Order: sequence, then structure tokens, then C-alpha cells
Amino acid sequence: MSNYVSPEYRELQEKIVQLQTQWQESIEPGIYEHALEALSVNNRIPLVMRLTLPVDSKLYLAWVGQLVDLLADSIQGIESPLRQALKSLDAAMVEEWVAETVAMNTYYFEKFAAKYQLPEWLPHFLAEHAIRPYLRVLAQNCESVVQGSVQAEGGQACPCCGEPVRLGQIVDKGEKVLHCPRCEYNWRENRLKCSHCGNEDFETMHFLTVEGEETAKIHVCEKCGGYVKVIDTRQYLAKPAPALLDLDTVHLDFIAQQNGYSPIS
Amino acid sequence: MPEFVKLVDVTKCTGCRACMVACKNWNDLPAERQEFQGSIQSHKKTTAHTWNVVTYTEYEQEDGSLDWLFRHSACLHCKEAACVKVCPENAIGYTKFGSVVIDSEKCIGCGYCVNNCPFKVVELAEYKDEQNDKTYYKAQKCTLCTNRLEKNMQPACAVTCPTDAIVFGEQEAMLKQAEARLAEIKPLYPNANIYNPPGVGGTHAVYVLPEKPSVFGLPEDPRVPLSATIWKDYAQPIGKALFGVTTMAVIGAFISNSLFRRHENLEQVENEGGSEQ
Repeated sequence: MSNYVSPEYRELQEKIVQLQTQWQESIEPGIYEHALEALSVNNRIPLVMRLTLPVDSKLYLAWVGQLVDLLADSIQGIESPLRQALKSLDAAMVEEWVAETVAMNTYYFEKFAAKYQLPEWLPHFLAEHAIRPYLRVLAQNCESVVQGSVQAEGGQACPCCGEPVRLGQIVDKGEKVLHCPRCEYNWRENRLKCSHCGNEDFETMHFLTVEGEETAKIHVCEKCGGYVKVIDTRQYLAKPAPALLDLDTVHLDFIAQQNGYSPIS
Repeated sequence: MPEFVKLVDVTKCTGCRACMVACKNWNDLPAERQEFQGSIQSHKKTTAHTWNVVTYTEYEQEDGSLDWLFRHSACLHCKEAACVKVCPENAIGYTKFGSVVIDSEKCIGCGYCVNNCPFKVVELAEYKDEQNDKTYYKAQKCTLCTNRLEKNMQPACAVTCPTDAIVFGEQEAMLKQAEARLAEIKPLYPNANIYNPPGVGGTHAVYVLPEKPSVFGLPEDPRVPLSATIWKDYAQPIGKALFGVTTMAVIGAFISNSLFRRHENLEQVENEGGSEQ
């Protein structure tokens, strides 16, 4: 797989994924037990929107601090204004950040950035990465309330965190498994099926391929205009985490979108 | 960087030759017209343009029954490779993945590697330069798809094998898998063994064999030829050192001669000047 992302940015993301794996270990696996007991099976509404994430504000702030350390190494002049801005984060604000991250409220974080004269992307970047360990623990424990085909009930996004479906892997004996790069929830899908609208008509399902990339295909649906990047990771020596695989194949998103397809059908 | 191993479990091989096709396809190797071998086997052995060959052996068991044995044969990528030892141009070396590869730019086609490979997998390819009407030779063999490994992809033969008779992965996991498979097949094949010969320091292609290695045309105890070790480890360094000594002697002689000549010239000039006065 050719890598079109700069080595520095790839390295930064790799470090973030490593940190998130460490952070995940400090979360109690049974943290969602009671919340999940109260819920019924539903694939239409992402699970994260049906419960409140029990985020520990001290842990959250420590993780944000570690992310700032990482970013300070890569981007000069960012550290002091950022640390100044983050002083305003108390337990109540953490709760607000978590809720706005779940709601994918970019506008809220842009306002925060403007208030403290920070780069527009930065607060949402921190909030998104700091919440992911909680999403991943949720994804590992959600089997009782997220079952069966996502499309059967009209859902078009990750049933756990609501991220648009855009990444799949071919594994084992050729099964297609969709992977959410955000919460790492994964579920089986038919090879010849649109993961957005459930279309199974082979005449309106096509593959886009890139010359020299034997392991990657873009599955596109003429019916709904959706696409999914499908990577045959069976050929890989080492399988990267879904978030890194998504990053490594970002050029395929450009190709699909330039051809008029969308990750949201 | 972990070490990688290609595990070939010949008890799972169905002789479909998909590995041969995948190898030709990925490495862009030309087809070679072959004479009939007297069996279904396509090539007698690996050649400069056919880097892996599935061998078909008809083997009569002790009870008189016949076994048809298939083996994916290619370079074993020895950890202490004889070809690396004997190459006078240092054209053959190890990569970070453990594969043994030939640098065609450096190869002079001397054929030492061909003669010294204990598995007889290296061959010379003939190339013709039509402009100068010259023929030259380059050693060729399986590269363990090093150019795929660099792209985080497994070798073509391992990816294409439909029965998982060829699998590729980290050394520790592969050797563990080999041990587990050996335990499974031992009741059926009492002579079963894992072929990872220590005489060449172990290999990066490890076989699970149901019969003795010689049944499959593999040497029982392959070794790096002593002559190769003497040549590379002792004779060549000494030769180089001697070359250094002689070079220094020549340079020394040149400098001293030049100095003497300079003295002679100066004396001559002084003498000539003196006569003018």
C-alpha cells in the first residue's frame, strides 16, 4: 500500500493510537454493564447516543495533557496558548466536551478555538482522541444491544458510535468485515452488498481499483452513491489498527469522492 | 524488526502450482518451454526464470503402497548462506527481513553461488546486449518477494496458496505452528520432521515434511562448504590485507623514487648552473 500521508503525521497518529491503547487499559471493562442492561436491541440509532458516557474527568484531562505533550513536539508555538486554554476545563466542562464530541458538534469546538485564539481544528482534535478509549470499551461490550445487519433497520453508520461506514477488510477465508476506525467496532457484511443502502443488485454495484494497489478496492453503489474502501489485509505482513489503515488509505477517499461517491449515502 | 519465516507444510500441498503462477506473475518472469520430464512435473528444477517449482515425487512406502508427494521448492534463504559466502563481489546479501537477495548491478555472473548452493536453487540467466553483440550472465533466484515485504505485503506464493500449505509470518509463530502440525501428522507419518537445517544456520523457509528430506530431493544435512568459509573468512581478508601491504609498498616506492629523482634533478640543475659560472 503506497503511503500518501507525510511520515511525520503518520508517526504522530501512530503514537496517538499507542497512547489510546494504554489509556483503554485503565478503563474498567464492566463500566457500561448497568447502562447496557437498560437498553433494548436497536441498530438504527448509534448506541453512544442512547446512553451517557461515564467519563472520569481526571483521566480525561490527563489524557488531553499527554496529547498536548505529543503535539508540542510536532507543532511549534502551540503549547503555551493551548495549556492556557485548557485551564478552563473543569469537571463540568469535561462533561460538556464529551457530550459535544458524541454529538459531533464541530461548531461548539470552533467557538472554543476562537475564544482562546487557537487553530480551528485543535480543540475538536483533542476532544475526539480523548474520548475514543471510552468508545472502544463500549464497542467491546455492546454485542447484547447491537445485533444483526445494520442496514436491516435502515442504519447507515457504525451502530456503536455513529461514524459513517467507509472502511472494510477482507479477512480469513475471504469474508468482508466492516471496521469503524473511530470505536473499532466491526461487523460482517456480504461481499456483494452496499454497506449504506443494502443494495445487492450486482449490476449497480461496482469496484474502483487503483493501478499498483493489489490489496485495495473501493466498493461503490450506483443506487445510493455510497462507497466503502475494502482492503485485503490477508496479504499484509503486519495489520495496522483500523484508524491507521483508514489514514493509510485516505487517497482512496479522495478518488471515491472525486468520482462523485460519498461515505454518507 | 522481527525475523520472518515462510512455512511450507507439504502435507497440505495439492500440487496445484498456483504458487508458481503467482511467482511468475509478480516477478514478471518469462515462460520457459520445457521438454517432457516423464512426469506431471513442469520443470526439472528451479531455473533463472522459474524461481519456484512444485516437485512431484512418486514414493513407495514400506508397506508397498504408493504416495505422491508434492513440494514447493524455492530458495530457502539460509541464515548462513553459502552463496553470500562465496560471492567475490559481495553482490549477495541479507535484507532486514532475513531474505537473501542478489544485487544485479554488482553480480558479474561468475557462477560461484550456483556451484555452492547446497539446495541447487541459484541459476545464471543469460542476457544479450544486441548493440555490442555481447553476452553476459546474472545469478537469479527467489527473493522471498522482498519488494512486497517492503510494502508490508506477504510473498506472492504465500498469499495465493489455496490450502494454506504456504504461510508467512513472524519466525516464532511459524515455528510454533510447525511444531503443532508435526504433532498432528506424526501418527500418520512416523518419519515426519521439520526441515530447518542447522548446518546453514537455519533457514527462512521451513518445511514440514512427512518423510525424510532426501525423499523430497533435499540434502539431509546441508552445510556451507568449508572451502567457502576458508575463502571468505580467511583467504579474502588476508588477500585484501596483502593487497594493502603491496599497495603501500608500491606507493612508498613511488614516493621515494620521486624524491630521489627530485634530488637528482636538483643536483643536475646545481651542477649545470655551476658550470655556467
